[in-house]
Amino acid sequence: MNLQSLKSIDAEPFDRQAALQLLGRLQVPSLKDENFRFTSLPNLASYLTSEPGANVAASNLSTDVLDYPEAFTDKAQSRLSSWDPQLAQEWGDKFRNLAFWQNDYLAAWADAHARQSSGIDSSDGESRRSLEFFEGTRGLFSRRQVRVRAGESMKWIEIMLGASQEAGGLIVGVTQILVEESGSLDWIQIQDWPEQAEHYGRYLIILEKNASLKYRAIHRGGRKGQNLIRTDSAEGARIDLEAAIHLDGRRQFDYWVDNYHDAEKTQTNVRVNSIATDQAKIIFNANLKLSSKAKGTEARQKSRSFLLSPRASIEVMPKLEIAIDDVKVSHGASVSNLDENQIFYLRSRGLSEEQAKSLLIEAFMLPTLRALGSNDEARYWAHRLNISSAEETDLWK
Amino acid sequence: MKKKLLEIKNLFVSIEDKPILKGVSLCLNEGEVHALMGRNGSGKSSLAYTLLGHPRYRVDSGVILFEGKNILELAPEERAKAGMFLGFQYPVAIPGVSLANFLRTSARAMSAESISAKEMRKRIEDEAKILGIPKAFMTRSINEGFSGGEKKKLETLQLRVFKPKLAILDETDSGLDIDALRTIAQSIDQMRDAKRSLLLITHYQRLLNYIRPDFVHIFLNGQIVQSGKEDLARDLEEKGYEWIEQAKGVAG
Repeated sequence: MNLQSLKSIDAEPFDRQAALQLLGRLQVPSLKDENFRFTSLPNLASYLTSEPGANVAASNLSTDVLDYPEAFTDKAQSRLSSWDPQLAQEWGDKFRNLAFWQNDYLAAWADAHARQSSGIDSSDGESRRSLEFFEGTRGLFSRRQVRVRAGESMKWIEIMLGASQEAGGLIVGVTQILVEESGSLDWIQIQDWPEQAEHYGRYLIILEKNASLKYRAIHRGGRKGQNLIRTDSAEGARIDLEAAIHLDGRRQFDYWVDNYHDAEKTQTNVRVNSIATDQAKIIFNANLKLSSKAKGTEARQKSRSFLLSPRASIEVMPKLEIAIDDVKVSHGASVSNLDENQIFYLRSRGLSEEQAKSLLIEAFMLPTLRALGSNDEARYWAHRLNISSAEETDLWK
Repeated sequence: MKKKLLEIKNLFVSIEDKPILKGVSLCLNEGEVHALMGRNGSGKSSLAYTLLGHPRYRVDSGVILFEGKNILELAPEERAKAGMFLGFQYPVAIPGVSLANFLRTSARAMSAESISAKEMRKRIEDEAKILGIPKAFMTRSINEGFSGGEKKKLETLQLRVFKPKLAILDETDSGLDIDALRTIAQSIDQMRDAKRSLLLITHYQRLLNYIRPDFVHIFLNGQIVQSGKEDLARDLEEKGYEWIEQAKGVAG
């Protein structure tokens, strides 16, 4: 891979100069770099040295390529604000300390070549929706600014999916989220990338004083993937994060959640449920960091992992860094098979073993579907994600 | 002549090579109520789990016939669909699965007839009302965060919704206050009819005051050591288990 060849590519100039300068300073990533745990160098080189393409912007989506019901992609909701270079400049300093991508080649590349640069702002409405759709075999690079203004509330449904069945495809998204003082963000994320795509998402989140973030997510699909979420909480900020990861086949997914607490009386509650079948591999890194200023903070971290096949694997790596005594912190991690007594209980009520297992697995995804707040949309996702008990759930009675 | 509903013949069962049931024989005819009493750890719950086919319990020898058919090869769900029901002593919590969803899914799985969601909902709500179960419980996860008494009510609700031919009720009376015991016991007793049989596993006479058994069996050390009519339960309440252990030469 040749850095000069990267620089010579004529991409859309979104603050491109600065990003290219950054790119020029970066070392070519090593496979040993944990940010690139799953990225094969030849694959990376192939994408980074070819012109980005195959982006499909949400506003240009047609029903030909997307089966997502139009009723849920109401145009007013789908139309996102444009990228604000001035805001990006202002936010630059705020987010610099949180950035994963100071040495992250992919993220820098996405910054330089993003075709889909957009903003989501609570001043445009309380309910916003973003849709990223990937088809083809090339790259989808996007970056986004999400802003919840002081005292405002916003629900953001982030949908990521695709249709390509062909091998290849690299998706990189970089998102900055700022929840201003006393603002509240209810963020629902559903990720169901095409089976052959590699995907990398970076989310930097700043919560100002007394701001709150509620996050519900389902991660499915993709060949290899990585989501990095890093939060920085100001005084009184609250985070409630719950994610379900369900992988089958030979998929791999690396999920990082870093929560920094550098102010008093913050609250963080992280729950991640991972389910791996076949030969799937899931890695969950959870870092809780409490500085000496984090007096009165309560932080909880819980990971439940279910291995449903002897060749599946799940690694859970919880880390706690606590520099103060006056805090409440807990973390727990379990790796097991599905509970045989739960399965027996359901079977004793007439469900087959398969039905019982499905019901138990699906239970981890239902909080996200419920959070959508629309029975029709929940039903759509239940169908798409093969949630077999969909018609029986109380969502759509 | 009454038809045999459940017949257990010389049943030996073990868990991980440890013998648990050591030659149990028992016959329940249609419409009969049998009470099974015994010390903690004597194997009563193991018998209940074995009857429903819990995979941890290995049947080493013996036969279980339900309506004349050997059910040992049947999966738990097939036994349930055949008309067997187990009311659990410790109902298992299943986070994330709502009670309403579960009941509808199960009722559909168990029923040969097609029941609309609306009909099913009405049936569940009517039965819940009898047991004093608030509607709000329906959207909560199965057995999660409920008190012991509430869980037993939810087990009884399922019994009433599924209407099995044979109900095996494992310490349904434990953890209940006086009022809850009366409500649950009476609603179980209402289900008695000429076809339905009950196998009540209990430690106390108090349940049998509401649901009067046709037969009482004393279970010790993995075996039924004595059978009799309901006065046997009263004797047991007065004298405890020692007299029968001594009489039968069985270690406690």
